[in-house]
Amino acid sequence: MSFRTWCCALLLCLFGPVEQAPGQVPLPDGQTIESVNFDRHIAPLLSKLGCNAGACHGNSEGKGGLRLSLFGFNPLMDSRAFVDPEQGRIDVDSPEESILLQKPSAIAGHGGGQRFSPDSWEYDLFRVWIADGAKTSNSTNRSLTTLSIEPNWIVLREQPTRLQVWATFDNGEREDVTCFSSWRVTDESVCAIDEQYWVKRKAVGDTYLVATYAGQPASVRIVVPHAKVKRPNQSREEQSDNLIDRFILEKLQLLGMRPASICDDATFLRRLKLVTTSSLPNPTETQRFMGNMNEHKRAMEIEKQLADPVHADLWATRMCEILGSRDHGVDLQASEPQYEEEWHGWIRQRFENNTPFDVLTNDILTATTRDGVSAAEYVSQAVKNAQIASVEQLSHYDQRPTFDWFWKRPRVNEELELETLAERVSAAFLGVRLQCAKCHKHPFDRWTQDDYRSFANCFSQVRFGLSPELRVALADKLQQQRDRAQSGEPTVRVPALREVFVTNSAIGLRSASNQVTLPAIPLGSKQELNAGGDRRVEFANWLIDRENPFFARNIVNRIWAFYFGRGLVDPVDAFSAANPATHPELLDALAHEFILNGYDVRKLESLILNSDTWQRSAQVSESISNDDHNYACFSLRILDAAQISDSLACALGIARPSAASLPSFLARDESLQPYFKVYSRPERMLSCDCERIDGPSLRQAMLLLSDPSLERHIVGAANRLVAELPIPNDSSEMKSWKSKVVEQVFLRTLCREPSKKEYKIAVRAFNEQEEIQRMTADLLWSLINTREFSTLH
Amino acid sequence: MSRATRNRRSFLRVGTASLFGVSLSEITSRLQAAGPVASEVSSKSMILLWLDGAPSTIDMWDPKPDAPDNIRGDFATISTNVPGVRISEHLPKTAEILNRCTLIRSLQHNIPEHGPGSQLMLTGHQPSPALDYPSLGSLAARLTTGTFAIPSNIAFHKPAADSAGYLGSAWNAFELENDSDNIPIGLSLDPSADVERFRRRVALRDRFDKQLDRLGSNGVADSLKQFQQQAASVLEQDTVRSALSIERESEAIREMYGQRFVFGRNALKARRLIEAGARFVTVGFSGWDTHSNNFTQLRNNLLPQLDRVVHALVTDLNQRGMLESTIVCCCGEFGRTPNVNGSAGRDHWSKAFSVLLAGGGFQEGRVYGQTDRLGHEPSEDPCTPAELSATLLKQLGIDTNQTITSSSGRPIRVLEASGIPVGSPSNTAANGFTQPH
Repeated sequence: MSFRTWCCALLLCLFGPVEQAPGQVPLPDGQTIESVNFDRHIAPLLSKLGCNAGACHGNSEGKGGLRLSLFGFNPLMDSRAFVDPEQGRIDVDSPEESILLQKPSAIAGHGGGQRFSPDSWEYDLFRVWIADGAKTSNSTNRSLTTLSIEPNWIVLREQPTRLQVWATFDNGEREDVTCFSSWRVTDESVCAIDEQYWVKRKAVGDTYLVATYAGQPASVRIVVPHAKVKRPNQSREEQSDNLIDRFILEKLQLLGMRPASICDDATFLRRLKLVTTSSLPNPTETQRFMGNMNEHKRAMEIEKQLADPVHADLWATRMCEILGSRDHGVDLQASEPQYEEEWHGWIRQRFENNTPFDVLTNDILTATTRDGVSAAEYVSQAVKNAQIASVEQLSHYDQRPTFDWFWKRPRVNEELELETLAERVSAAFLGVRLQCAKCHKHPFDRWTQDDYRSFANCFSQVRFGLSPELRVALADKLQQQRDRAQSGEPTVRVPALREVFVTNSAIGLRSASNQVTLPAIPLGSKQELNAGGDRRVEFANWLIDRENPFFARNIVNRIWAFYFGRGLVDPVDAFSAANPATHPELLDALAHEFILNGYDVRKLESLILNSDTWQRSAQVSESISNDDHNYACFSLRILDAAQISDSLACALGIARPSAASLPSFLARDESLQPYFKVYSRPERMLSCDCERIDGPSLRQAMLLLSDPSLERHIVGAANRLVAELPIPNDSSEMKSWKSKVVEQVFLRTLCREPSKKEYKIAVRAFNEQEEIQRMTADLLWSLINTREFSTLH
Repeated sequence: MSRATRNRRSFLRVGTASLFGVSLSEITSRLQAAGPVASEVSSKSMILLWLDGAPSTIDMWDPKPDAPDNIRGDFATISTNVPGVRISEHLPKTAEILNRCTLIRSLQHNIPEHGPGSQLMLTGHQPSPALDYPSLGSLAARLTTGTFAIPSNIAFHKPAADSAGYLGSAWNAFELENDSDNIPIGLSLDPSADVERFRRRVALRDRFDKQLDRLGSNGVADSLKQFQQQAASVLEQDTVRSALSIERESEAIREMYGQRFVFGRNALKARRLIEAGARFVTVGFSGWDTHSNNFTQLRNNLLPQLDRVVHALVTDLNQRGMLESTIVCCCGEFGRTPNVNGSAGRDHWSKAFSVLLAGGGFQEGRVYGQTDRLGHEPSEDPCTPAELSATLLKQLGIDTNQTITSSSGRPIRVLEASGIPVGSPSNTAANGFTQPH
């Protein structure tokens, strides 16, 4: 702050508003603007005041005759709209008479209400701009490169802290734009920001404050610790060598939150088996694990479960969800079992082998149908395959080097749905939701419509249909068959073929503003992809480069979310400056580690599962209540469709294949269908991560209480259990027999031994009932209907 | 239009830091306070006939017989029992009961896209990346007292955009499959089940279900507990199945609704659910996205079903003395272009469309607003989705000015807009409104 502005501020404080020089506008933060400029001052204010929002003048039809560009992407158009003499919005000679001042200050009627009062600095700013001749935008002067907030993170104790927003431009200028930025606190219960840009604490917790200036967001982390800082000596449980625990504990200590203790063995084993293989441990496994004295038993169990084939199935299903395996454009029946099996099978194979994630990604993103085989050879092979039973044929799909299914989403004329594809690649591999930028500048991210279209153009060469080579090869084959037919030789049927291929005659999407075809540029990159060859190869190289800011973070964050129920960035496909990570350093460290380990998914999973953070109990204490993103305790959640189905199968000994291993979205097994309907089972259609059901529902609870086929299985399980533990003839042994049954029922359903009290309740119930089998069934039923059974905890 | 664009949650949820949680203790207290019998405090209910895909209201409620061919379309108009008001020739039954309806011909908004457009119409709010707004059904469930033994907010063929938003998933609609003629598994106890035994089992379960309570207050666990209690109650009293059992209705009533059609059967089930104590039932009816063959589809399939259902609901509710306390609202996400396209279809148009209301104490035989000569825009009394929502909520007895606190501590006002003057006659007088001539 210059001496002069400092004096101004002081004077303002002492004497209130003073007469300032004409052309000067004092700002609430003490600065003074010497000369009002449309691009620097008026345009950002239009965004801050909400004038250019879709519901107001940013509407494609405008409002009240005034149309502004949506979220201010076009300042020149906006300034021209103001000064247009036909509209008569401004009066340079007597600025106060301008409609541009009278409406937003509600002196004249304004559909959008009062945006600023006549004695505000905003009013002054507009007034001075008009009085100075209302000069229109000259935005080619300079463009914004970075926006930052100072300080860049805050621990708010008793004293409020004041914030400043700085904009840096490409011509080297750096400017305090605090007053021209709009502000949003992501969790308003934690802190508030006042009109003088002081941040004040409200409650213990942490949040972000996001400032937006000229369409670009910046954020600052704000931590509000307990007012009385208690720094108890760390208990042994609060120390760990695990990379994850270090970062998580550091923040918890800062907040003054005490983490929950590590969960017991039975809870650990159940939790682990559910998340890794969608199953419950059986009574023997549980008891053996509890009795195992090896201090590394948890780590050993984790390795064992991660190597289980069902774990690869689980991954295949997840990837089908992320990649949208059932969205196949206009003419493919994606729900056909064969297609779903091919999708699932190819991916499962990769995870079973723990293929590095960069390799896997590359094989998906650069896929072609022929994988380098000549068209003639491909046709011959297809003719041969058509003669073999189709079942055998599909078993080979997982052997293919690349994954062409990802690209088989035809629209018309062999072209693909380019926009959807771009959104899908972006969400799946970059963790960025681009949808908004399809139609207009992204409202709270930096992406413009042209960024979106340039990104989409990276894939504009891909086609699904008959390539020229394939057409020739097919024609040759058909001719060959005709010749054979003429000479009386036996012929074979030539199947209809289509392939994923790359064309060089592609025309990409055009710019929104000037209709010029845009170059292919990956998101956030400056590098154009060359037109020659398959651009996807270049794209994949850009993507899996170690320096790429999105790729590793995205998958690391998604893996985190599988195990913790929420991402460090959440939603997982919403990476943006306006949606910062809860633990940015941890995310960076995990991404770094992941890259160092050669994109080894299993290693990362192992790191997570071995952390104290993942192994904490779900116990909520006073100091951590109402906190869902600092990982002080394990966050309890509802089992998904496959988990609940498989839990029931494990608990009741139902003989059916694991629901988690099903390649298809729907279940053919009738007894599974109701569960697939009311519990979470993403449809694999949308390009965003939004098909999951997070919370419980009434129908879930009703289903478990009333499913008749479940009842049959309960009765069957009860009968078998009693048969396995024959009822003693001697009534004196009855007591110990009952305790055995009760223990078995608890171990099978809840995967733990009953507490003394639970044991008593169960035995009392037994004593009230004559029929042993019937009572055993009631006991099984009761435990299956506890919340403990249907949640991951 | 693929489903891809139609899920409301495809919009960013950034900023709505887990809104699950705090409000759940409220559910507990509210539901428990409500107890097993319906409260009499606020007794209005609503049936939403949701025409999914956006109906061509210019061919239904707001015909333009004098417009050029490419706008007028294929249909002729007929007079109704409201003097001077004409509607499509393919809605003859509705024409006989239009004097019991309120027709709003001047709805207008700015999102001609299915996903966000539905969200706007269902919530009354512009979709926002910062906050997921609840649909009217979820608000009604949350802000009125209902019967514990039946879900408050039920949806057949639930619109993709229907969600409880910031209220938390506990207030999501109780979803029923579109075709639930064979009562789906999990809605009722086996007919042979021993209810006494069921009660004993539930009691035993409750004694074991303490483990999670020991873990301390947790949003998911708390709401699950609530659902479990309610589930037992719904099953024990068998409310859902009995309401869905339309075979208990007379042949004449079933025929009136159109028992050959899923939509007719669902509408009848909706009435029975309302009778049993549900507060808000949404009946989804898809197929209205008529980009091609608009007229064939409307004439042969869509309008005959809709005509029957609207007529049946109004007549049936009236005969049962339920019309005054039950709002029937018939709308979709927007309307369709006045201009007929090259495939004899109409495309998306949100700048002017109609909504039909009946019952619930709305002014009967009233037409509110009108569109210009060619149906492009409202020429009188334009009405926004926010105003429509405010009107409906007020009529349901909900104070739209009240604030709800989200779990992040953010106070949110139910709705900023005020309603349009189509409410009960006393309100009209206060607003100085007169019947159009």
